[in-house]
Amino acid sequence: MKGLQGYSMNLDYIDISKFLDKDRICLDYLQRNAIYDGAEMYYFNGCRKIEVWMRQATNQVNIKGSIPYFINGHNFYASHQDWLEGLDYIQGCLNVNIYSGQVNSFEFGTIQEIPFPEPDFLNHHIKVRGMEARAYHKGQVLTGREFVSPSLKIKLYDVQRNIKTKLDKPIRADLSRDYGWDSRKHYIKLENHYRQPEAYFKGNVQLSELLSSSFQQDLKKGLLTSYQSIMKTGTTAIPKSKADINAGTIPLMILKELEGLYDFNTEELIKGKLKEIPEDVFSPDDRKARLRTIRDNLKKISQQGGSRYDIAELLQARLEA
Amino acid sequence: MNERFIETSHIPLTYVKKDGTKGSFYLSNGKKGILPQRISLGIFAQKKESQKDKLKKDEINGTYKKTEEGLYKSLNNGRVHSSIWGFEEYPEFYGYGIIDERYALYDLVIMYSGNNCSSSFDVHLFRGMGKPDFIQKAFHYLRCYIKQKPQ
Repeated sequence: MKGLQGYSMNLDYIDISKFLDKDRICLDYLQRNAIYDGAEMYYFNGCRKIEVWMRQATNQVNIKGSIPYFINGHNFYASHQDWLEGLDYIQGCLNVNIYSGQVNSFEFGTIQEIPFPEPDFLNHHIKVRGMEARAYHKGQVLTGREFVSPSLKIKLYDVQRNIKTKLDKPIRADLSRDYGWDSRKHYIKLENHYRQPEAYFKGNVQLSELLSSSFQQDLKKGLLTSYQSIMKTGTTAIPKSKADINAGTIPLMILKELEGLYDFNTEELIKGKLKEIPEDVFSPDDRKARLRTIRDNLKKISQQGGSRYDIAELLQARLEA
Repeated sequence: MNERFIETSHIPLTYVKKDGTKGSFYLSNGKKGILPQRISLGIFAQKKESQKDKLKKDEINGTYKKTEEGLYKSLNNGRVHSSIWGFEEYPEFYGYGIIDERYALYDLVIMYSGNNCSSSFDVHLFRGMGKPDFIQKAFHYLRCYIKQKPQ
């Protein structure tokens, strides 16, 4: 059976810099684009473009872009071999050994099929301790979340939307044939964007090092750890009976789920709010009656161990694939 | 390396022999400004008695005219040259060459002809694919490309 199971996690975007010393770069294969702030920008044409920046002042070349997009026209999956071929082609054309270049930033991620609609899944992934949380919407629909620290950005987004809107039909047909992609299913992309590898890995990272199997293995584990660090909601079990879900139960379900994340007690908060209401509006009996209703509603909600939106097990299986 | 990527580097050109000449071919189809409009086919250099030369099938030579633009015009005073070697696994092709290793360029040229280059040939240029790792992939791509092309 075709599916993503056999395809693991892989590198995507990369920014490499290389000091040229006495080497001369070959520009014959590049298309000149513009000059920005003392740096000349060129394009390398493949299935998608790769940027090549020449910085004369520092005698440095920067290569930026997604090798999977460049070599395959998509970033659904790219094998190690795809990477080597793409890099060999670039370095062959530029006449520069880019494997000894320094990695300034890169992305490592995976696409995962999920059993929930993508916006639902994203809605239940809330925050990571110590990281700034950002949400991305298209209209009213949540399409992505990012958790940002100075050296790392964890990205979680609706990749199905990207595939349907950004990729041409022939490429989508390739994805179906080669990786079992199905337009009716749900897929998300989880990515670690290492913004400052030298800070994160406590030392400069060379491209050859990044491509080594031991480093790749560490990146896979890092991706799983990143996912596990995301706090999830979806820990309350939805009542089986329709009669147990009234207009008052639903906000309580949300509050109960957020308790763990934001460290508060739902019942105490509600009691406090009731006390704030002046006695000429709410008599003590009114207050007791409201509290009784709320307690009845709370009894209908039961908490389960983990979030039902947690896909750590699916990712673990991919890591071991 | 998938076919889509190879396709982005592929430039097909067709040359037709000028009547009354021994080996003078002119561009009849394909993008101008790549190779010279006129290309000659034939081994004119003095042959060395080396094993390597026995494998050589032919040579292509061409010079850009003063008014002509071309991909390789700035190299070697506008003179383009490549030896053409046979590739056993793909005998339907006349051969392949590389333009121009002397200038650290590795553009692969694969020649195809339905008439053994007696009246015309196609030049399939693959930019940056003249390295040993890529040559076979380009041949494989081209075999499929020619099969699919309406005859």
